[in-house]
Amino acid sequence: MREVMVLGVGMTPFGKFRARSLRELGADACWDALADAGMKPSEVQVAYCGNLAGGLLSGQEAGLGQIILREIGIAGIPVTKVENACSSGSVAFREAWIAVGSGLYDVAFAIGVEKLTEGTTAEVTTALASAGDMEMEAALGLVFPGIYAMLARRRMAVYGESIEQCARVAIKNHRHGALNPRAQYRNEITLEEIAASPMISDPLTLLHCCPIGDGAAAAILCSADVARRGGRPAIRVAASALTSGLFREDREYVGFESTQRAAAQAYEQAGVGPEEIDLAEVHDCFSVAELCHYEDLGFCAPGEGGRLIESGATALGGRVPVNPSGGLLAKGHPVGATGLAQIAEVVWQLRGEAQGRQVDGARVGLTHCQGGNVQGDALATTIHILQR
Amino acid sequence: MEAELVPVREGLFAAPDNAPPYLIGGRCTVCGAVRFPWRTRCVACFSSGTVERLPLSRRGKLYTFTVVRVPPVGYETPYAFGYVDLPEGLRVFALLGGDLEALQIGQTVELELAPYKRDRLGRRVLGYRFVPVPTGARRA
Repeated sequence: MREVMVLGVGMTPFGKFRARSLRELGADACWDALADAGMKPSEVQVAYCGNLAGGLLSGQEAGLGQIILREIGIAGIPVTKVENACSSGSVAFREAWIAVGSGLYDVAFAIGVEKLTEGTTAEVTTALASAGDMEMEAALGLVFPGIYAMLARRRMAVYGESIEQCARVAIKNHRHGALNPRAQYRNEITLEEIAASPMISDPLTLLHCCPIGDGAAAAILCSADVARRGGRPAIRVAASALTSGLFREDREYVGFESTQRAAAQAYEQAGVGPEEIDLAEVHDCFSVAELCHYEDLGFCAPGEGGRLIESGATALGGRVPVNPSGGLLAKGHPVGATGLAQIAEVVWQLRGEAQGRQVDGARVGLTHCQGGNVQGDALATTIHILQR
Repeated sequence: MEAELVPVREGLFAAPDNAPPYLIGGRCTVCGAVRFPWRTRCVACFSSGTVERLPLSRRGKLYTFTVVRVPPVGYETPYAFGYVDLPEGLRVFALLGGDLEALQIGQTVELELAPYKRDRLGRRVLGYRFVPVPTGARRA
């Protein structure tokens, strides 16, 4: 694989945009990324579009990438829709990385988009449950808040973790989100408000859960030659890893084995260790998930996630700020867009452009995006390491 | 007239006339691997035609669980699910019944069959669930 650079990123605000369609949101993020890269649509040679529920909620099951790109005057090139549960956007980025890294193309577009406000809460919960096994677990009633609720309860039994330690993640990420103009929620929240919010799936209340929302994000990837010609600040993709779960029945369900394996691969590719990560955007779909990811990414030892959040190490100003964007909990989680929104945040951070929430002197950033669940492990876990 | 009753999936469980119901696992006669649900090929050693049907233990221990308060389409809340560890070394996802507020990790639970939702055709869907065994109850 040859070196691949991120030349431009774009992102719509995340939120509830009932008047805006899936393709409009996607097109907005694409224009943003093109402008950021200083490129014209005609320079893009290949594109990948990540989306999860467009078929179930908007009826656009097929061809979403071509339909979005037609809105911005891109046609004729190879375009592929990518679905990998909540990891769809980050897998679109990975496919674009492979396309350029292989030498087959010099400029690739990665797009992620989702519009969840097309459905009622029950319809959205059902659509997202399609990222489980629809003939087994999900057929019996498995829903995603429940997966993380089971994880939280197991961590409490094995590690003695408390629901307050989980809530600290939501408090931190809302504090970060308040600094991000593109975040769905820009308000700070308290322990009391989290505990008093409606119960979703014991022991997780509403404010332990990421919100339903809409949005899109995109990135332009290119070869080092093209990046030099452009003369713009490019960020290097130092590692890209994608794993699926092993779905083992004989391990403790207190985290994600698929994340541990993806992290080991990514650290090896990039030639860095967890102690060299300056910031990370991780998949905090539910508060407890972020505590698992601290451990599985090597930011602390197994079982120490609750103590790490309490120490302040993962807040802005701490040793390894996690989710400076506000994460899924506050920035929002329009699922197909999430992986690329994480990439956008890390690119802005490494370019020193994350106004109000900048991690000083950041040189190495990590994104972690996880989707689907069967037998307690994720279907798709994607980790990228970016370096300036 | 009672609505038609259909299993959530064919071949997951059996309900003999004069015996309690059980989940249908598979045991490979070549490598000994036990899996649920039963499949024609062994996914451990990839032998074909060597997996015999194995009635799984009806009792297990509750590994973890949750009570869902906000349902997907077709469900009424509250309902509960969790993972149950069976003596065969399997960890099975299952709906849970009984007193949902009294569920506890580690408690002994027992299999039963119960309708739990309606499908798109309005038919009642029969699934399996585990319910807590009263403390001190003798083995069934």
